[in-house]
Amino acid sequence: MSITIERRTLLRGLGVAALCAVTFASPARADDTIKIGFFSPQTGFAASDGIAALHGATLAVQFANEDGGVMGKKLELVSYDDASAPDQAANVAQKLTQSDLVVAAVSGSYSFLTRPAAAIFQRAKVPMVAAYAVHPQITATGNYIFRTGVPSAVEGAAAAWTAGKLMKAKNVALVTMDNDAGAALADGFKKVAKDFGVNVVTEEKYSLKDKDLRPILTRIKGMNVDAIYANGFYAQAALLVNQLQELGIKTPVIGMEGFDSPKFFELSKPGAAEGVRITTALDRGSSNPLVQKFLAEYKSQFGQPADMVGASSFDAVAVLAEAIKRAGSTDADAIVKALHGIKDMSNVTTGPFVGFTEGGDVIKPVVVQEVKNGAWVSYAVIDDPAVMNLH
Amino acid sequence: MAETITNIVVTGCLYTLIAMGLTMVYGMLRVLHIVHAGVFAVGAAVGLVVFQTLPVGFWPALFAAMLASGALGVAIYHIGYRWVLDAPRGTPLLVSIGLFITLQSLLEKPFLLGAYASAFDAPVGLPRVQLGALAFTPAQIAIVLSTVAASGVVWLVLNRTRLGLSWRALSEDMNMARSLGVATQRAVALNMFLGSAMAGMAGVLVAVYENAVSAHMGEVVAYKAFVVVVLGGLGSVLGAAIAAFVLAAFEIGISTYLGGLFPRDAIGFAVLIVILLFMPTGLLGRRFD
Amino acid sequence: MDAYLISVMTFIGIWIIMAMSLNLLVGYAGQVSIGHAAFFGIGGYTVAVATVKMGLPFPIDLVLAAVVSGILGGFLGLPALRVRHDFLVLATIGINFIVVAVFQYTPALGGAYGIVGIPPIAIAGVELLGLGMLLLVAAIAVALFVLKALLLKTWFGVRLIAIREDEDAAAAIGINVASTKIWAFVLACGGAGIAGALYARQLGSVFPENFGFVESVTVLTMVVLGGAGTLIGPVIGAIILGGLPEYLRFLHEWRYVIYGLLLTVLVIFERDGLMGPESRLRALLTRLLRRAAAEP
Repeated sequence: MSITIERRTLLRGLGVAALCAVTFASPARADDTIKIGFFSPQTGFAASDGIAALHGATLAVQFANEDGGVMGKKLELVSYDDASAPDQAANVAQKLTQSDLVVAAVSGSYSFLTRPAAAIFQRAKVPMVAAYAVHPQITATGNYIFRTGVPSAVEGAAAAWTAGKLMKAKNVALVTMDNDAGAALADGFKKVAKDFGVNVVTEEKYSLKDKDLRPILTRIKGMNVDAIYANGFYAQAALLVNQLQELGIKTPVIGMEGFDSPKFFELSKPGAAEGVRITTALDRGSSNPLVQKFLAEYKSQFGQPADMVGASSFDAVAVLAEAIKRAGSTDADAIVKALHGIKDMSNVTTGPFVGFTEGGDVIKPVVVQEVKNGAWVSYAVIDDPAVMNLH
Repeated sequence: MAETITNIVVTGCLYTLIAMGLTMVYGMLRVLHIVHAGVFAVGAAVGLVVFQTLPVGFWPALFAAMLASGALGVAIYHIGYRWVLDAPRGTPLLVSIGLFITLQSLLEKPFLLGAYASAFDAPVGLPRVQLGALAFTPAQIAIVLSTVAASGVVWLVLNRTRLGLSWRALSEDMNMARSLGVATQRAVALNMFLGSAMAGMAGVLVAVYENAVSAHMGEVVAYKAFVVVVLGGLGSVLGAAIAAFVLAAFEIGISTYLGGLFPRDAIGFAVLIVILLFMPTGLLGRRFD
Repeated sequence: MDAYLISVMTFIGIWIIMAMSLNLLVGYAGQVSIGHAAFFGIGGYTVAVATVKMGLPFPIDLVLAAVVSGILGGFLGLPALRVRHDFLVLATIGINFIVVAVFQYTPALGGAYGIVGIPPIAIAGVELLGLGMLLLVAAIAVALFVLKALLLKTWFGVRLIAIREDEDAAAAIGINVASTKIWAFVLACGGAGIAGALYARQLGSVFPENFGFVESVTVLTMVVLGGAGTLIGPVIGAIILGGLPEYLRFLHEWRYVIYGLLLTVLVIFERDGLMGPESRLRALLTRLLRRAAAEP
């Protein structure tokens, strides 16, 4: 009896040890690839963005390798799922910097996950690029932290520009999601609204959990409003236009890059999305061959059209690859220097990248797209310094 | 004003549908049946799949979703709750949580719903209705009618059938009822079936109303359903219905007239807490033991 | 030592403190709360404000976090005097939502931006990162474990258990139920505040979304899975559930499906928790310990 228990215990102990070995063992260091770390929410409620970001990053690595790799070696993407949990983001940041020994990394996650990870990358002196996290203070974490997504100050200002200068809308109502992305974009809008001739009549916040925007829209219906500036992700965008249609509200809508997804069209009722304009950085009609190649390849490999998250993630990896190439080395400081040295990079999907600010935020024009006959068409490109150089 | 009233009516109906099913299950098993929200999402998914793959209209798809949800409810009872009915309170709750996590994670997989939301653009075949200043879209009418019908059925079963009688007996004291000869297993299974079928019905109606089905669409229902049930007074179906409209009225009323002062869920909970402080067993609560 | 392992274990240590504190409320006082993450958050935000906005050093911020969370927890205890069982459960969930809403809508607390730039703990000028932080967290966890064990041996502990078993009977024999309950909330929420303080330091930032319903459910799950009302239960629960997402990484996108199934199966198998009074694991460990003690 006692022997049986001991053997069982021993076996259990071995099993646990084996499990730990499998889970925690550092992979053997392969010196013939250049490892780029990546993390995003690939399971959980944010999985749609996390997986899109992963797709974009994967494609960027693929394109770079097809192009001959970097410094004669192939790029390798080391990807982890953070399941939208900040502690997991911190854990994988440690893993990437200390075990996988990546040369640089990309965050395909939201701000509350990116910020803890950024602190770890900064301390470990490993360059990290945030693909789309919008919190103004992410790049402030340190000199190794960059961002290729449009800074919120710029995107919000671009929306104000669109409203005031392009659409001649005097009174605008803001419909803002109550997370940091919403707040940052709304703040960017409000800061310059007066300069562009726009008066913010009201700001209505809503929670991402809330599928019913009707109370807010009903309030706005009763106000004298020339345009609505709304932010949200594709699901909220669809809810917004559907409920506007249901309530018979015809006020024009200006959205943001979160709307820039094929799912926005899929979930909108017929005609509801028509006329919506958004600030984004992906110009689907662009004459840049890379953009078209990206869109075609994304669709064929992943079965659905690319969205802004995928494009942003692609660019984050692409810009790192470019920086490593220019630096001619995988040394972190050399990469940082090379990133700052980028003055006009056009082989990105959401570019061109005019450069990086001292803090590490990208400088690039904002594209405004409009929905016409159920598809995105170019409406404007905003590269006025009054907007683009804000940060 | 008119839109607000319409919204309160429709939202109240949706809350009623979800809470009634939960009240039935809770009333009998006394389990914090959080996976009710998972059944809700599965119902929507089944409704969507049936509508898209079979040449049937909205209502047959709804019915199929109700059958599937009901069956899922019974399965959940047999896989999970049956073993832990007389365990300490926390254990069945954890079973429910574990099953909820599993269901949601499964629905996220590409071979089921995937990570993205899917559209559910199904015509319900009803007209728009104008009642004075109140305008109802077809989807809204569908919700109201379904709720009235479902409530009627539940009322009938509870108050006019032997099954309903055995449910009420089992809710009072399961062991006593069993020893008095009530066909326990069958009654419990039917209770789970009907309660879960209503969750599935709510799932499909919400999916069509919002034009979206997603793996995590139950995340708000997971707690919101309980707010209604507790506000109503735990185990009282009528209480749940009244609470549903009270909650909808406060949430929508405050959001409309005071703007985005506070998130809607927080408003709802604040209302619940205030009411509980004055009526600790809910609006229609019976003596809790 | 592997930095990743250290990071994982540091968070597990923080969950252990969280679970132990909740266990005081749920397992010993019998007050089920699914809103504990609110106090986790209050502790975290207190540290954030204390360090980033007020420049206070360790351990003042930690003490403040415990005190603020404890006092606010005492206020939560007040509705608990009126409202019981599942009604109380919902009230605790409500408190969680309201607290998070306050974090999110109060500009002084950063609003939706949260508070970032929380520095690591520095003792005598030495920054505690990695292993240093892990040792501190472990030390605090052990200290709290011992304190809790001692507390439960006192008359207060007896009162708690009496209330858990039958509140009315306890009142009938002269126990001041109200005061005991409130103290239970104060201590439990203070403990959560300590966990939150360490969490904020470890992550370097606090955001409203860190402290919501899902986190509350997770910590309650740890307590119940491990064995509510036992000393070692929450520790085991935190080690298993806190670590499971990392242990299961090799399952990639199937992680959470297996996590959910594992949780369901484990809790059906051991209805009183893995370290419940009659559980197999407890029996096994007791046997092993006895054998080790018996060997000369």
